[in-house]
Amino acid sequence: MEKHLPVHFWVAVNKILNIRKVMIMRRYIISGILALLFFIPINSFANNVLYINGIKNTLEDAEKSRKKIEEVLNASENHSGNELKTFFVWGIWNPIGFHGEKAYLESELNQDRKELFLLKTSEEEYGEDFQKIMVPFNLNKSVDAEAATRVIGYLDDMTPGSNDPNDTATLGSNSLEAEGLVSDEDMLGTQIAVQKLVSAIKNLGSAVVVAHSQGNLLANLAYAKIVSEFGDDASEMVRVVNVANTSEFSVNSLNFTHAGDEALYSDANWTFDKSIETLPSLLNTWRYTSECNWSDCNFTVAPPTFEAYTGGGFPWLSHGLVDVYLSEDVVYVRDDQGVAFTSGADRFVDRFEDFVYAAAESLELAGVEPPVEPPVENYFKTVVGTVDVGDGPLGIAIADGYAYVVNEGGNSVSVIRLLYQSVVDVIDVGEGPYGVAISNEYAYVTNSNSDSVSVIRLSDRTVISTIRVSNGPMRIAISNGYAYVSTTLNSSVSVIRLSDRTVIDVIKMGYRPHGIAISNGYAYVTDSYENFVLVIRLLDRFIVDTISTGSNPYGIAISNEHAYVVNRDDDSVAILTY
Amino acid sequence: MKKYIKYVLGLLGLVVVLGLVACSNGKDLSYTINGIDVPPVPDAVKDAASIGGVDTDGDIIRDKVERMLAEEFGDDPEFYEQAKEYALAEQVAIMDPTEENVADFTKLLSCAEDQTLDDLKKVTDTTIDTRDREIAYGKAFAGALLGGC
Repeated sequence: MEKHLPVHFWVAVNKILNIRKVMIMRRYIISGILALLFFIPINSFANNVLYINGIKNTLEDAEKSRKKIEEVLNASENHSGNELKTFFVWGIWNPIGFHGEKAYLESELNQDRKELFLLKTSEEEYGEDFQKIMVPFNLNKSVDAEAATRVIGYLDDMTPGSNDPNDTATLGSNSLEAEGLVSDEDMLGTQIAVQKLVSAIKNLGSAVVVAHSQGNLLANLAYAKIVSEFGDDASEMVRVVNVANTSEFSVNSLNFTHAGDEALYSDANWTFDKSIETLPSLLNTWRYTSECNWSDCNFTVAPPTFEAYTGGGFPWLSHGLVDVYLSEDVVYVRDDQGVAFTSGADRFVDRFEDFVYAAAESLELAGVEPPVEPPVENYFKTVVGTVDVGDGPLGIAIADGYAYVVNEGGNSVSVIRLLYQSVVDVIDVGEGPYGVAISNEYAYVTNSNSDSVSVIRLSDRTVISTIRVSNGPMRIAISNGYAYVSTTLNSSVSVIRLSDRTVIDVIKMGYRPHGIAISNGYAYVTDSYENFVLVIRLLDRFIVDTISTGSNPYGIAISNEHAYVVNRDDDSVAILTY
Repeated sequence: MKKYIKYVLGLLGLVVVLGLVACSNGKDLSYTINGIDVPPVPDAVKDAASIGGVDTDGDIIRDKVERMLAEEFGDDPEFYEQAKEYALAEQVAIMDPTEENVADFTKLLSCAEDQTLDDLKKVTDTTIDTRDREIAYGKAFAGALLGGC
C-alpha cells in the first residue's frame, strides 16, 4: 500500500507540471517524424487562414471575401518551388452592423457606433497592457500574460465601468454606459464572435488571422485571449494580419493598411454626436476618454505600410477588402515592416500575398503542427435493426463479426452474428454478468454477484476458466496482456495477468470505482462516490492523479485526445484532455 | 322528385368545393409567377409582426420570400430549387439557431458557387427585412464558421 501516495498529492503535482509544454513538444516531434519518414518538406504543410470581416457584411459578403482570399492564396502568383505554401482558408462571421438599424446616419447612436465606441475606448483603457503583449512577427519577444489577462477582462464584461458619469476613475467608464444606451446584451454578438475565433484558432492548432476593418478590434481581443492562456507559446499559434486596420494596434506588426485608409472617417466627418468621437476624423478627435489633436490621431503604434492610395477616388472611401486590398491597383511601400515584398509585384493583391506568406512563414518557423483537415460528416444516425437478447443486457463487445452481449438478469452471454443480425448462441456464465472485454480470441466477462471473471474461448464459445476476483466486479478493460477489473464493492481494481489467468495485484482505489478505460499507458477509473477520476500509471500501477469531473462520475470512454466521463447526478459529460 | 333536386345540387356543390380545396392543398392557385404557384402578397403589417412572418402554406419560408424566389429565379428551375433550399435553411437557423441548424445553412453557403453568392444575398436581404429580423440574424450567426465545403 505504501506505493499509493495520497491522491491529493498528485493534484498538486499536476498543477506544478506544465502539461501544455508537453503538447507543444509533441507537435515538434510528430512534424519531425513525418518529415523524416516521408521526406515531406516543412513548407509543404498547409497553413490555416482565418478571415474575420468588418462592418455590415452579410454572410454572403463575408463568404465572397473568404473565397477571394482563398483564390489569391491558392494561386500564390509570387511564390513557387520550395517557397510555395498550401493554405486552408476559413471565415468567422462578425455580426457587427446587424443590430436592426439599417441607416448608418441616424440621429441617435446606432448599435454599430456603440460597438465601435466600446471597443475603441476599451483599447484606450487597456492601451498600456496591449503594448505589453504585442510581438512583431519577425521577432522573438516575450509577452506579459498578466497584461493579456487584464485586456481580456473586457471580454467578460463588454460594457465595462460604472454607470456614474462622474466616475472617471473606474476602468472602462464611458458615456454610453453611463447614459444607459448600451448593455451586455447589445454586445453579445461581438463577444460570441471573439470566443468563436479563439476556439477556431485553438482547434486548428495555429492560424493566420486576416482581419478586415472593425474585425481587427475583435482579432486583437482574440489574440489577447490566446496570449492570456498560452503566454509565449501563443507565438506558435497565431499571427494577425491587419487589413484596413481600425485598431490603434497591430499586435504582430503585420499592418496591411495605408495612410489614406485611416478608416471610417467618411461618415464621422459630418456628424457631431458623441459616437464620432471614437472614430478617426479630420475635424474631430477620435479618442473619447483621452482626447488628442486631430493631427496626432493616427496609427502611431503601427505606422502605415503603404503610401497614400489615390487610385480609387477619395481615399476615405477606399475601404472594401476585395475592391481595394485584393485589387490589381498598384500601391507603393512606405515602411515594409520587415515583410519581404516580391520584387516587381506591386499590386495590392501581391502585397497581400506577401503579408500572409510572411505571417505563415513566421508561424512555421515557430514550429507549428500541420493543420487539421476539414471534418467529415460521417457518423451513425440511423437505426437499421434490433436484435432481441437475454434478460437485462448490460455490456457489449465486438470481435470478428460477432457481438457478445452480457445479460445481467439471465446470467448469460448472447452471441450475435452481425452479418445476419441474429443471436446464434447463448453462453451461461456466473451470476450478474456486467462487463465484457475481448482479447486474443477470448472474452472476459465480469460476474458482479459471484465475484469472478468468466473466460470464454470464442472459437467454440466455451467457458474454459473462471477467475476469482475481489467483491463486486463491474467494468473491465484490457491492455498489453493484463485485464483491469473495477471490483467496486472492494473499492479496488483487480489486475489479472491473462497468460496464466492469475490476479497479480489489487489496487486500492477511492470508495466506489466503476467505469474504467485505458489509453497511452494509463487507466482511468471513475469513482462514483468520491466524485473523481483516478489515473493509474500501468507501468508501476501507481495512482498518479485524481481529477474532479462532476457529481457521480460513472461511465468513461476515450477517443483520440479526449476522455469523456458521464456525471450521472449532473446530467452531464465531462471532457478531459491532456 | 322536384323536392330532391335542391339536395342533389347542394351535394354536388359540396363535392366541387371539397375537390378544389383538396387539389389546391391549401394554396391559392390563382397566383403564379414564372409558372410557379405562389402565395398572395402578404399583408405588410402582419408579415412584419414576427420573425416567422406570414407563411400561408406553412413551409417555414415566408410568403414574401417565396414570391421573391419565383420572381428572381423562377426562370432557372435548378437555381430556383437551390435558392429555395437556401432560404429555408436560413429561415430555420434564424428562428431556431441551434449549432446544427446554423451549420446546415453555412454549409449551403460555403458550397455555393462563387458567382451565385450575389443572388443568394438577395435571399438574405429579403429574409432580414425588419429590425427584429436583422437582430435575430446577427445573433443566430455570430461567430459562424465559413468554409470547409
